[in-house]
Amino acid sequence: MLSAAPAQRRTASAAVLALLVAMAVMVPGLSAGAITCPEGQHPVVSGNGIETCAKDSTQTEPDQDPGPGNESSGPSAPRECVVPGADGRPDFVVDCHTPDGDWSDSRLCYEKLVDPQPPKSDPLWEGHDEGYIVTCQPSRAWCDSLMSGDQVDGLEIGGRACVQSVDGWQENLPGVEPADPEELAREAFASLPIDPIDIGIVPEDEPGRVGLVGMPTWMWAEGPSAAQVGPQSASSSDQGLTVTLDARVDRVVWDMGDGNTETCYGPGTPYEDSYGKKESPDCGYVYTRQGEYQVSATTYWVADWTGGGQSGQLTAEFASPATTITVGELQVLTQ
Amino acid sequence: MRRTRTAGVALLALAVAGSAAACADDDAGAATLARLQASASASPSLSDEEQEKQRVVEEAEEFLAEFQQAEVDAGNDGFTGWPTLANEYWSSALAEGFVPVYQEAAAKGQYTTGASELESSEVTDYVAEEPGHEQVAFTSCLDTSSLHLHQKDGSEIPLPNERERSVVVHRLVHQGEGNSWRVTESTPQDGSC
Repeated sequence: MLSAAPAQRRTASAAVLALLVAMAVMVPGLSAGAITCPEGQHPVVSGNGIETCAKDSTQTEPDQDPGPGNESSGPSAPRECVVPGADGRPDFVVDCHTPDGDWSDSRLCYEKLVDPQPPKSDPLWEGHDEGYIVTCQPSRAWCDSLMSGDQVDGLEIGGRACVQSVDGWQENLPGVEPADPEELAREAFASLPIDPIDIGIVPEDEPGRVGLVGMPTWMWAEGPSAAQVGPQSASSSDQGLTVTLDARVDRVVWDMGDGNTETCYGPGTPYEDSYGKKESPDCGYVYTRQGEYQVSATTYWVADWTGGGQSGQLTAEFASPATTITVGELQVLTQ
Repeated sequence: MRRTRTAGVALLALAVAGSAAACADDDAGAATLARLQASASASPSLSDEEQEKQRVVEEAEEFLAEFQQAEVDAGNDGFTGWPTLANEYWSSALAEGFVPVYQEAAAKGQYTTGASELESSEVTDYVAEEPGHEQVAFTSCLDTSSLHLHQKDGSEIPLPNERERSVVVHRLVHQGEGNSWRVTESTPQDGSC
């Protein structure tokens, strides 16, 4: 069986496969486990002995935690393919797959590999060594809906010109949209192990512990780990494009339970008895009324990413379970 | 592209739905896998739903056989026929995985002789939530004992293991009314058949 790794694979298994290829040119192996695929991919085998890795389905189970950066993702909706309306025309829905090929959302035509692929000396390659020669065929149904002489932006789009196909070079296989750097950044962000902070607070949430009105309350992240306060880094690759991402905690917003919030730009400082009545240097609060308060903390992460000549920032928030503290007034306590 | 079926395809059609991907040496009679599976119940006549399932499974079964032959042809033709597989059979995810490997093999002049055969096949999943977009998964026994791989100079590339029969799961998804099927999964399984 043949075994090799596509050029864009990114983990150690790719290196292993490359080594195998270098040693044997093609390494037979049909049994499961003959190759190890990177996360998000699985082994696939063809009837002529080729074994390689292919991407897993991207569908997410409804009750799965999507992770940071993917809050809005859910089960994949059925794909809808359209020619966007223009000049007041409505969108025109087309079949996503026809004998003319697979619909390309970016090129608005059906793409199909020229079969066989022309030799690299053909001018269609435009000097490229990689990529594919693809036929781009406009939707015949859409063309049929147009009247001869119809125009968009002053260009005639109806009639015979509409259905004319064009062969040309492109980087990706038909049906494979170019890698989206922002999507890769979301994948990288989602891959980070991020946990909400464990709340540290004085007065503590323990029987007999009572804070005082007008005295400082200290808040902090208890025993913070990198998963709770960062910083963390990750990268994600697809089709030769790699996006790197640096994530950190931007702020922790404390809901003090009395209708007010306190924003802290750091993990806070754990209270020690030696501090006495001092205020926290970086994350504190003063209650003005006695009572029992449910205090919660929300950690806001930001992640800066770069790749594919683009850059951007993603955000995510993580809520910690609330804790209850008691605040009393001094005269009440001394009676 | 040749569409001639191999003996393995005939065996596929005759395979009995028994243990998962058991290699069938038996003469199972002149009934297709789909018919056998659909008639497994005691019901003397099939409901409309069962008839539709039988029709879909038969269609998928035929497509799987064509796909298997197309793969064999591509290997025998020096792996240059990958555009046909990408245009007509593979899902985009499978194409992404396979095409670079086929391209590399073709560029090096490598080729196959002989053929692998789908010895037996069992329908292990059927999803028909949306008409025209049915999914059928087959767990098959792939016999590669007569498949040989060669370098450009004709020298044979030795196989790293002695397993000549393997279990493979193929999943086929129909692409909508008026369209064909696509193979979205072609996954080797642990164990042999």
